[in-house]
Amino acid sequence: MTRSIVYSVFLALIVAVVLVFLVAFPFGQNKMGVGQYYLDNTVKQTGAENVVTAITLEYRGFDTLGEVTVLFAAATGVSLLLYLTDEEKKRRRNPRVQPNFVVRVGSRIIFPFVVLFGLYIIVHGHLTPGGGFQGGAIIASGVLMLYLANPDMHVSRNNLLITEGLAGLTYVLLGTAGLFTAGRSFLANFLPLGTPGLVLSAGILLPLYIAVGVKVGSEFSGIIDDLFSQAGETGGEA
Amino acid sequence: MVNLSDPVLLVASPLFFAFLATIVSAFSKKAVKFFPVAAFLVNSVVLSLNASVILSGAGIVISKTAAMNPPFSINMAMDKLSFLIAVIATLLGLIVSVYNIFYIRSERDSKFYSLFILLVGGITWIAITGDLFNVFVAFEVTSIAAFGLVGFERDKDAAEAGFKYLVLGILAGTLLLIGVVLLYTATGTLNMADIAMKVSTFSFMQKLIPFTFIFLGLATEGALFPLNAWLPDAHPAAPSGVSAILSGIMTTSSIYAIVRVTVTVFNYGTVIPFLSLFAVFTLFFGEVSAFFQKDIKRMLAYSTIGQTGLIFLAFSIGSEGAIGASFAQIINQSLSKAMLFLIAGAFILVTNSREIESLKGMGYRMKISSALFVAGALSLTGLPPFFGFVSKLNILLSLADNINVFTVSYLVLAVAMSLVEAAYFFRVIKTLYTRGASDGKLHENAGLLIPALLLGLVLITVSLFPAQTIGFTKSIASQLVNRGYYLQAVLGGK
Amino acid sequence: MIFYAAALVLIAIGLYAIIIKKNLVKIIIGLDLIETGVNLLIVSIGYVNHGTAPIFSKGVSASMMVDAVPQALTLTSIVIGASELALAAAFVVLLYRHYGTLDIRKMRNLRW
Repeated sequence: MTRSIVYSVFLALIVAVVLVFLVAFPFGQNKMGVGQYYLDNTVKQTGAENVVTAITLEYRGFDTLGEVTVLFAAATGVSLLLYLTDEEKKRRRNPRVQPNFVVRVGSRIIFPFVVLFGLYIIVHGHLTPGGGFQGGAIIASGVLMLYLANPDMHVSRNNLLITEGLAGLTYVLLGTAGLFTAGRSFLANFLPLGTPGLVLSAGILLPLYIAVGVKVGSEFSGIIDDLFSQAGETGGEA
Repeated sequence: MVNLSDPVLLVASPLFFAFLATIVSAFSKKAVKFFPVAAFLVNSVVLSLNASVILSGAGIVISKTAAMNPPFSINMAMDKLSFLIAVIATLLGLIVSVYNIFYIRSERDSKFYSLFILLVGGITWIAITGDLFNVFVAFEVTSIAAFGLVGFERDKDAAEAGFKYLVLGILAGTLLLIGVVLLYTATGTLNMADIAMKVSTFSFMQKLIPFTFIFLGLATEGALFPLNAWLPDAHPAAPSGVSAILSGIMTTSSIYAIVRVTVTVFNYGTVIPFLSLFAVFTLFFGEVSAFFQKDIKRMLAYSTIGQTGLIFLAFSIGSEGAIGASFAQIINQSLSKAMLFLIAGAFILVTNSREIESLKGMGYRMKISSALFVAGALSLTGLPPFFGFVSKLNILLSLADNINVFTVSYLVLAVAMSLVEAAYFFRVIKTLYTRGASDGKLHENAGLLIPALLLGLVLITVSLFPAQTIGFTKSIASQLVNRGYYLQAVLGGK
Repeated sequence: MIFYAAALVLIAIGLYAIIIKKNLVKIIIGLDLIETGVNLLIVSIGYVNHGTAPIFSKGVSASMMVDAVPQALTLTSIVIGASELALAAAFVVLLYRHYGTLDIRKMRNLRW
């Protein structure tokens, strides 16, 4: 009990300290530095209407590459930790209850629509809120739905590996291509910027986000598959 | 055509090979083994193309991304210090990749190698980036790769060590993120050079809060006391090649990040002496705990904590000479510690035990390996003719350079801890050369031995040219302290 | 101010959960709370009074928008948070396989 109190006081102190610091920067006050530059110049420099996408993929595209890599490392790590050989998988009896007919068939009917919605979000990332990460997560949630509804569901891991590898490679290669073009720097936007407002605009932003969306979708699906494959394992030793 | 010396390639190439490895692993699990070697060979080429500019030219290489100038885009800024860390990381990565080919035997190969590429690539990324949020992202790449690699063996040890490391590592990342965000609130930018310009008008107290968060986040990963609870479990639980990287360069990269933030971004001369408190506790805790260990990898892990304390202590003295000495110690610790872990791994494979006792007689049964172990141990302890002697001497001299109550007590502590270090290493050496129960010569796996031998050769080369090496570290320190040069190069550039 | 405080309190609750709770899953939930709190903090820092979403369309000009940079940072942070949670979950599964329980008091190296 005393431990809890001591820790609570300690944590309250930390909260107070940060609040004291933030008093100088009140909520709602315009504190923008580079932010204003981005808002003013996005449409001109990138052709995208969604400033957040422009920042994520163009101005700070290198961060997004890192983020994609983090997700990749996590998915690979999960796979590394929970990997089961094919024989182990066969030995595993799945105790989960077979859901009823409506759930099983209904989920398969809904799935294409979920994927379609996800693709819509991905492709319109530079025009409306959304983008590769959001769309990829939607697609993965569709896959999760299939897993929940169908106990025998499985995805071909090899296909997932190839997909995520290719998507990641696309991102890196698009970036490296920037080194060859007039901009002479990584992730320079070398495709035509087009007219803002059209889907086919914003140079490399669209292909980048598609690559990201595919990668995120396939990686989360892989994680879901790994975690679900653990079902039926009895825990522990004495 | 294309500028092959662009530092961005130091990040793009590991990522390229990691993603390619994933594709290839769907077809051939064996081929993936060689991808880390390929990735780090490419990195070595890029680094050597930059060497002349860094060592004798402008001393700094800037690279933009997105064809925009900083602070509106992320830039790489590789100065001498970044170059040193990147070179150490790539060198260790290359050598350990070869080691791993012979050490790891399991069906999950392909994923291990991808994560390994990301681990070392991430460390290089931290070293060369010039944007503070990018440091956070690179930090997370490295951490997450490390979490997976620590858990690789999947036994109880690995699972527990990995989980503890994960929780503390994530907390560290969060603290770092909060600090960066607070800094963004105050300055409106994320570029290190730009922040440096804006922060220079801040008062000590205003700088303190973001700095504390950033420092605590990095210090957890850098194993400073009292935030290093994860290290003694994590480094031993990982496969030996991974331990070599973790102990050799990963904890050091966090120290690098602290140095970069403190000096280049905050120019926080006034806070540096306070940091010495962390350093001495780390040094004391690490060396004394190492003394009581019976497990060779745990002993080496605690030794890493102690060495990190020593490196940080040298930095916290604040004088240019002391900072240079800390870089020299970094070189020594990386080379020696990595080599020691590689040899320990070879021993463990043969004896199937991590107990120091099991090494009895190894000196006669695995002659070359033991000789290399002795060399690494002597260099780490700081005995001539090895480079460790020069680097440690420099640290002690800079402590003696400006005498006050603190530096004198630190000097005494440093010497005392060196004696403790010598004690536990000599205990191991004695065990190595005590004839054990069995006596036959053991086969020394060339695949494991040659990488360690290469590290030994590098160590010997550095030991043979102490003046040049020290000269280099001194130039790093002076470039670091005169940060106007860095700021001008990044912000005033084309 | 209330928004900052709320985000920080979330972080504090998450920290509390990690330090005090003994159930592995609750510790992971604590991690999640911290992540959420940090993301909330980042987004609330970018807000400009009477500002609107940083997306151009008819009738919206740059001067009416909130800061878009924290939103991009939050995007990155959310993905990183999700990745680390996935990895944490994998570790918990592994630990459960070894020990048959989620209580950290029963695990040799995690007791504190």
